[in-house]
Amino acid sequence: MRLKLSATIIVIIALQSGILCSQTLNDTISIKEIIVRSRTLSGNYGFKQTTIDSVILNDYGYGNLSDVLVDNSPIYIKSYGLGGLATPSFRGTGANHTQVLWNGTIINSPMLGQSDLSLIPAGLIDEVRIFYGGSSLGINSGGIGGVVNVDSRPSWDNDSQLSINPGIGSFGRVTGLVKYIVGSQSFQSVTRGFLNSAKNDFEYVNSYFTGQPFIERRKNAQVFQAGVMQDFYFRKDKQSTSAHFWYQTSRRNLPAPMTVQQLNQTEKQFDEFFRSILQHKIYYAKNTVDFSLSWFADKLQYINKVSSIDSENFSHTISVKSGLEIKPDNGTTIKVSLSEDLSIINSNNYDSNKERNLIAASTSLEHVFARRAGVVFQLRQSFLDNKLLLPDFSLGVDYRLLDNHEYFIKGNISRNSRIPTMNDMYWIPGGNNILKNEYSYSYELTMEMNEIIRPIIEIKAEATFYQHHIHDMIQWQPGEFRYWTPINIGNVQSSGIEANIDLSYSFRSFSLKSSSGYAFTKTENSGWSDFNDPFKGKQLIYVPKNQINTGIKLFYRGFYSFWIFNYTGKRFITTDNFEYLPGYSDNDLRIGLKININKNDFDFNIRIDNIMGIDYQTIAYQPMPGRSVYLSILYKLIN
Amino acid sequence: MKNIKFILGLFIVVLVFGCEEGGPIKADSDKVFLKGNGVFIINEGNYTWGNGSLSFYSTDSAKIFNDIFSGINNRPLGDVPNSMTIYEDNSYIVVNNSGKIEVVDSKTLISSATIASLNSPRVFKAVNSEKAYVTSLYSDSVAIIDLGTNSIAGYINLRRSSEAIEILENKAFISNWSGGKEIMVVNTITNRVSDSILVAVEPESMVIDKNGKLWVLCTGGYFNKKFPELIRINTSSNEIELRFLFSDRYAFPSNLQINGTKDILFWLDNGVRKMPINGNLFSASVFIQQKRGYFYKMGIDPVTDEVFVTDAMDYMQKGKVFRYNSEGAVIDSVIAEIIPSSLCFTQVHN
Repeated sequence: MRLKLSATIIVIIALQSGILCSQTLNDTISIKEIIVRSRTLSGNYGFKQTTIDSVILNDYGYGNLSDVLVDNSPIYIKSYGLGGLATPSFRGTGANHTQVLWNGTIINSPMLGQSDLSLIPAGLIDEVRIFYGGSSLGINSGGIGGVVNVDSRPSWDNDSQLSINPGIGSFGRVTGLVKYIVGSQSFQSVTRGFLNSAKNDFEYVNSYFTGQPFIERRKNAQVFQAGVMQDFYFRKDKQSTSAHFWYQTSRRNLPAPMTVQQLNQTEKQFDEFFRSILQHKIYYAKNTVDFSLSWFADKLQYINKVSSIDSENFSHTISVKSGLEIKPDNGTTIKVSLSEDLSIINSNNYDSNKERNLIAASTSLEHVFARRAGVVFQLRQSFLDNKLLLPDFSLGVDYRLLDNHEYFIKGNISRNSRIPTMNDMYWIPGGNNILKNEYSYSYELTMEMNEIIRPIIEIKAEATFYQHHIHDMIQWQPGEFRYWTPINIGNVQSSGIEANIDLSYSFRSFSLKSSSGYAFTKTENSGWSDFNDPFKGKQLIYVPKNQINTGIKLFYRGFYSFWIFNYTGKRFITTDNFEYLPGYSDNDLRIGLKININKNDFDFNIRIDNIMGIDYQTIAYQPMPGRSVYLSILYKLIN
Repeated sequence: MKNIKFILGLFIVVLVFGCEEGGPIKADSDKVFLKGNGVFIINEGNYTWGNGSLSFYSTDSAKIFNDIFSGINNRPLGDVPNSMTIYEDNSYIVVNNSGKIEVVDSKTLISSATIASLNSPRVFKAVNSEKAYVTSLYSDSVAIIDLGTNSIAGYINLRRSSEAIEILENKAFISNWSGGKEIMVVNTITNRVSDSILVAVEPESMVIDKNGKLWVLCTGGYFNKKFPELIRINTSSNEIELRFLFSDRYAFPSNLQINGTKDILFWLDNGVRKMPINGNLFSASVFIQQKRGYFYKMGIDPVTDEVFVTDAMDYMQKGKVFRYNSEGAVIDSVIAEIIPSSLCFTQVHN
């Protein structure tokens, strides 16, 4: 296992150096002369943040947010397969330690405290920003692992644009994405619709049900998703307004593990939601005032015919936010914001309707010293149902190591807390309404380097060490009356290293982009109050210690080819680390051709996932599909 | 050109290294077990994770053998095994969420048949050498198993779910546990319901004592809305003879067991409690203290009267099995598998 991992790492590094070697030799590029692109220090000092822009997201029109994050971030995704539940584990933390936001407003379920990433179609997103650890505090508290913010963005470049993106693939997969942009320099309307349907009836070898391995076809794994998103943008003088609406419905059958007889239509889940956000910004000289009002309505129904369960859950969340940003002329920025979130839950798993009101006030102070160093201090005070909570804070520092070079060292320290979910408090049976908040102290140190070596080669590299100490971790445990109940059971320590290197090279009509990342994550229990001995110091379940992802993109005139490689190390599936899922490497390939005829753009592409057809599982006994093929055409009409 | 070849070569190497197999791997799995006197431990595993397993604790050697079904048959036992019954030369392991019964040779544990397509099976009870009944949590019928062909021969419609089952002469007493409050009486010759006995809320477990009386432990329901009760039934008249009401509505008694001579009752209620069949509930104090964790299931060795109790720990790691002598003193504790649950002893009291 170690050998394979080592070999894989060596190959990745060799591959990167191989690319560099080949370019250097073929094109006789001298690396003596270095062109430095000046990056001014700007906000979020000391904290790690990455952005996945629309150029990358365009390649994921067929998929969802979990597909994007698997390929482009160190976040580990626990997935039940195509269209199935997909939850994030950010730096070894649990799914409810990752906050997912849409245009700055949290969309994690107030009941579960987490988001199902498979319900966020990549085709509806213009940008993904990932805030690591304490950097999320400026947006929201509770993102102990981090925050993933998905945004809609206006594009004022073109007056109107129509794009149609149908696709068809293995296992009965049919997708469709339509986007229509229309407007002027002061108004823009962006309408998007999508459809995603799959039978998911792939074959796999089942070695677990009877004495002899046999080929079995996946049953009860059908998925259907459809949704529309409408964005309106207005801008006039020093004001801008945007309104965002998102409706989506999803029906999916939940397949049984391989150890269970595959039956049709026994377990299913329906998700339906409507989300709306209204935002307004006013600019006064260098100062900004913003307001935001949102209303989210979610329905989740889970049906298990065998167990006679029909669980219906409705939630409404109304949020109001306002913020003020003041920039005096001395390199200082002051931000103040106030928010209120009211969640109302109606569930047949609660004894009555439940409400929760969270008010938060936050302030931040940023300052730049001689264009060489930046400091930011953030303080956030929350009131939960009129009860004052302990404040959260963060302090971050950016320091440019050399003048005229983009070598930075960043560091931060933060305290972040997470309030229990509504299910933790009110679920029947077991809900515990006297739970304490979880809180975490986090420390992070990052080295960053950006350089352009001649105009044709650009390198960006980053290495981060982090440590999170999570206290009063909430865990559901068997209780005195035989049903499970959540309690503040103990402490968890998560530490790790994240390293990334991005290279880009272009020469005449040829260009190459490569992005590689490695994440080492050690997450262990450290001092539980009960059941202490057997798993103290053991790695938490479903947290891989090692992860690698690499994407290499080649472009030559209209042709392009992407290769995406992911390695996920072994994941323990029992808390005493006796049982584990072995590591796996997944290779995906995409080849395409872009053609432009007047104002018409065509993009024909074929994608092959899991080229080697490996047998792997991200959740024990839930098979993942083997090799699959997906064909799509993207047509754009630009006026 | 050389460099292109180099890149292509490395690309292929990566693809080759990418080939790995993906099923769960256990650090240990016993392929053999010491035969002789002992107890089989059913490890439920986690619901839908499919990691249920079978352990064997040899009382002769005080050694536990884990995951033996998988070790011997090269496949997991299934999802949430619930109970095991030894009958003649075969053992029948009921795997609840896999909807099946694994039929294995009692001496070798080699699988001889899999009876599939059962709806949420719970407990197997042989009526005679030709047929057996299997209770069901989520259907309203008891399945009839043909022991000659190891197949489903039919169903007895109870119109309610079923859990525990005891057979005496030509009567099968079947408890309607989940949300119910009745004991259904089935004529084992005709396979038809002949009577029903209204007891208390959620009759969870039952035993038959040396006098042929049926003892029923009713938990009072999941939400503690009713008081738990211990009830004695006359199996000839199908009438309640005696009923003890627990003094604490929030008590959660479960897992009623009886010793080999069938004159002392045992159950779990914040520790292990015991009561002679001619005793009084109020004298049934805690016999074995529950010091840490939660006792999950228990069993009484029919020959030695030793008490075996399982502790599922945090339900996500290997649990423990404690062995106590008949006086309640600890003899041994061993590590089983995930969620050690019901117990099946190899010996019977003569």
